[in-house]
Amino acid sequence: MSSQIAAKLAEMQPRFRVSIRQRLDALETLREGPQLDRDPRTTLETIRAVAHKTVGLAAPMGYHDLGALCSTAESSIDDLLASLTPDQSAFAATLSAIDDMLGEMALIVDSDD
Amino acid sequence: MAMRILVVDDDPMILELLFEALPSLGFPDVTGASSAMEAQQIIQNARTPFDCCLLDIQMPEITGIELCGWIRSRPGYGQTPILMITAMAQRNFVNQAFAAGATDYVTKPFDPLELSTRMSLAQRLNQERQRVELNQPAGAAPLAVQKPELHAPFHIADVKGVIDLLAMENYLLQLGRGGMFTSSVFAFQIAGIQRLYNSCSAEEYFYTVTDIAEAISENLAYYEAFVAHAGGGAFVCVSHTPTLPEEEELTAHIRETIEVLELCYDDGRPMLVDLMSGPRTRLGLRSARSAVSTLRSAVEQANKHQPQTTRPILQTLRPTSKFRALLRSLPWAS
Repeated sequence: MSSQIAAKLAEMQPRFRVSIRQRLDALETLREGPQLDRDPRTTLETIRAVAHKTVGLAAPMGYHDLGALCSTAESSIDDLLASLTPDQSAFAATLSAIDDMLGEMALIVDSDD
Repeated sequence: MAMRILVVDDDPMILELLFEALPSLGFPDVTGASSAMEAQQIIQNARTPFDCCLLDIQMPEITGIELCGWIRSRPGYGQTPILMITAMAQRNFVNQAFAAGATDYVTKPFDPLELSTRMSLAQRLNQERQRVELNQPAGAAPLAVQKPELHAPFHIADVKGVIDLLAMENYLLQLGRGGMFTSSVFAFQIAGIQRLYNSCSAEEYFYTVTDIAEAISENLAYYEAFVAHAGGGAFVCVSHTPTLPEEEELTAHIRETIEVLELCYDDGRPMLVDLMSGPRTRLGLRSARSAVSTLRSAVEQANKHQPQTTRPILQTLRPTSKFRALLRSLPWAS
């Protein structure tokens, strides 16, 4: 990686962490929303969009674990939404993947405090 | 002259990163758009077409795939390199992107070295195309009626499911990176292509090859497939469905479609065209690199049906930068 790009990434990193805090705040509220007996699609799609956008930047910013967990959460939501009759275990697995992603975001935010 | 690049991404931090990365990689002329609609306005207002476009896929209102299709339909953008830069790694998105006309597909998170490699390839394609355009002698026939070399692939525009050979190589490489191989690769060869080529004018040859590409693609329309012209009357195909008809049956259907076309020369004489097929190769356990080799092998197999006097089509398939540049430089601008 060129020193120019590395310097730019270093410059952007604090702003990325601020954006992670904002994403975490939004996602924690959304996380309370989806329930299998109501239609969880809209909420899950919103969570998925945030996870997707985070995948693209997390690794270049040095947060490889976060990128991987966001990618896992995104795939899990995709699978759940693609399923015609999602069962409770699939739903629980998706929530677990989302929680893992949120946990990693919280670790990053906490390290700034 | 620096390549003019349009970057489209709704994430301002990604745009910011690319605005830093691209100049540091030797591409200083970068224009950014934060939405597909903004990109459309920029393209419509541009005095000259951009030389390369980098598009995110997931954007609100108009997706990057829709934008890719729109750009391809614009005058001057028929062969412009379009790179999808996206975190959408699933095969359906990869398929949709290449079907819409993408040249290459870079999965986020991207690393600068990979981006540099892909951008360098895009630059070589543009340079070669510009060189060909500059070398046109004054008073030369319009690009669309110059005869391509027999063994050179040329760009077939506006036929659903037909993509350039370079795009197909990149498509297979992308599937390989994602471990998404469940594909069959096979090829068709126009029989007696040398004789047909010699007997055709530039337009007759171009439109005959295009018609046959369309006939093949039509018959593969329900089998999640792409077709690419590999030069010399050979067509390589990739399909992902296990329900593909047997080789003989599929070839017979395509022959029927060609017969219905009633191909003929400009003076009305009927054009005798037959199509041969080669065996299929499954890509399930192969690497991305060997998948590209399989493309060449598929053409070689189909080429075995050619008369001995015909130059082997395989000679035209060299995955070198020069070869790739040649693909895009041929005078068949859409």
